[in-house]
Amino acid sequence: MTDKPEKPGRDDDAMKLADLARGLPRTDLDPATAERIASLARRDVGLGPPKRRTIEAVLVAMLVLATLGWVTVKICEMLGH
Amino acid sequence: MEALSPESDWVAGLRRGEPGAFDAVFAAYRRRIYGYLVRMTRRRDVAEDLLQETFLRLAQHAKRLAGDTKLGAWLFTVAHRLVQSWGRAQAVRAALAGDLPAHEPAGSERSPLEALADTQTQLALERAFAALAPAYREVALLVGIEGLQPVEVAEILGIRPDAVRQRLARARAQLAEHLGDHR
Repeated sequence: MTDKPEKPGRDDDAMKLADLARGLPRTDLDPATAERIASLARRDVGLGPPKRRTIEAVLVAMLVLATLGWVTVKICEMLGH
Repeated sequence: MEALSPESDWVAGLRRGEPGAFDAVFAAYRRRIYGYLVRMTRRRDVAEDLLQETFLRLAQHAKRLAGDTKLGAWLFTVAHRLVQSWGRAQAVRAALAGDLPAHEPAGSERSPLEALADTQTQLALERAFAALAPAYREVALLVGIEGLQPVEVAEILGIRPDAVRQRLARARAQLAEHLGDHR
């Protein structure tokens, strides 16, 4: 005889929390705010991430590389003395 | 042949860049994501901003979604990361200001969430959830309210399922302690 397989689903803690959570008041956005957010995001569907984000990443990378280069040069100068 | 769920239709629509698919996803998930965000940040204005950012990211990633994407898990993962970033920024601001973190309710005034409570029991429950440490509150919300499985929550939070179960047990114990006579 084989052991009964463990019942897939929620354990005791999860069920107790679900019982408690049922007593919480419902939260929702007001319809005007929901529509504003939806229409703002809807315009971007399928457009990909904004170019600004890519440009920011490139600028940060350049800044980091320049700083590292400067630090390396300074260390080399100090070791040269 | 197995019928496609609306979710797979929505993902296919998003991958084709259809605004109608986006609207369907927004209608299906906005309340759930907002509920999570507002109970994690304890602020309506912040929750609205983060909700907007979550759905903007969905729109911007629409064409790159995998065909088998689980939208709920995807959205909660983005929302979780946004909450984490916001929490870090709050902590830095608080440290610079030499103040306590601003996202925890202060004093005995009712928070906007508590104002929704119709009964003393609801109020006590809302306060008990608010009093949980964010890591425990998050797991309690995702499992207790959203009905997600610990394995799904583990993927969303980037932790092990065992850690989720541990946090669940602690959240439950702390809630029981806070609720006392209200249970």
